[in-house]
Amino acid sequence: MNVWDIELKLKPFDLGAIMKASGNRPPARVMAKGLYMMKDLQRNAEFWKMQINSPNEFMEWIRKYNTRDASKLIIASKDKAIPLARELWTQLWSRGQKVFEDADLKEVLKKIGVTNEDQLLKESKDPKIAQELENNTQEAIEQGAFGAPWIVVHKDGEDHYFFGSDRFPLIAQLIGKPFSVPLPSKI
Amino acid sequence: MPPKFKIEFFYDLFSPYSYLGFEALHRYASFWGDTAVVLRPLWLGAVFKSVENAQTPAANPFKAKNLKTDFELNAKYWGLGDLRLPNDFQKLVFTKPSIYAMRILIAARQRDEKLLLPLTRAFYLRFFQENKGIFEEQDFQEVLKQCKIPDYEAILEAQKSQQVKDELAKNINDAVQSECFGAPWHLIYDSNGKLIGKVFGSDRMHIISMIMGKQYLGPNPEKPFSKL
Repeated sequence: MNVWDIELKLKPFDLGAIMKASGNRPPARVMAKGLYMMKDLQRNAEFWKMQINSPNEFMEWIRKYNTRDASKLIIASKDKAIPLARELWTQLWSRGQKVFEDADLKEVLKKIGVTNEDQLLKESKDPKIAQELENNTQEAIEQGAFGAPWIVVHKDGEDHYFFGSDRFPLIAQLIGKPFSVPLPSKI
Repeated sequence: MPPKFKIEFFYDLFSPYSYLGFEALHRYASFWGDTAVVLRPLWLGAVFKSVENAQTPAANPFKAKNLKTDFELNAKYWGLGDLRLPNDFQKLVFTKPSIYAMRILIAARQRDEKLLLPLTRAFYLRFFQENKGIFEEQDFQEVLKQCKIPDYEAILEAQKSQQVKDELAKNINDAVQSECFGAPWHLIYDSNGKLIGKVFGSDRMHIISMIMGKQYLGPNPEKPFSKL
């Protein structure tokens, strides 16, 4: 059930490029902050009744891989973007598995019932898709993004920018919608 | 009956989110009726240095821009009216120390525990509502007089005492020892004095509630589902 009658558009971007452009550093660069963040993630998952299990190899993976291919796949998947993004996150943050290489991505596509996974993967490698990812990243940098999620609310011809997964009460206030937590129903 | 929970609230007057957290926490504590709030002024400059946190919101122009609007929207969300950062906030926090105002708070607390809450609020409103300074002797005098503290001169004098410096140092040290890296920082204790949670930020009232086995009811717990 959708509680708000809004149009939601997913815009995958390149977080590495955002951090570089804004001169920001990952929270884990400060040790006390890094430790706290893991705890905070677990508490918020509990609050939202979600299962989050950080992959043990996370630090190794962020050095070795990036999420550009997964992001490009979301862009190429068009109307399947939301279920695909959810499945990619579940694969990485709940099952603790990789979402970086073609074999990983094919597995995730199958999980959401995509039968032409090779075709979709091929389409995601089109330069036009890479360009769209680049455009999303540039757009966010121009808006002042310094991390993710970066949320842009378009209301009455004006843009409002929000950082963080904890700003939904403020977004609700801005668009004049009710917000009770946790949400009244699970999707 | 002694309160069921105790929350130690570590804060700095320069920290806009500490003010939001200060009001949010007191509102909930008063609604719950079973939670004692202990205010512990610290000096954030010393905390940042100690944990090598250079990634503070005011230190990065992208974050600073977001901080300005995010603070104003959060103030509205909590029904605190039109609060805003001083125009030169970024410059102020790197050129003016908050330590003297923090010592005034402690000097007042050492005189009378009950002064700490109204004085903290008065300092915050002066800085984030009136956008006036909280750095000089003149500023302190005005705030103390405004709070109708009769022997304010004694507090101005006590600010320089070793007793006050020691308490500030203890607050900073206790915060850092408990893995604090910013403000507001909450330490939550149950009725047996057991530490049951450490929480950072003014945007975690839902988490604080959850740790204490309570329900988060939004910015106005008295009227949780009122229309916007």
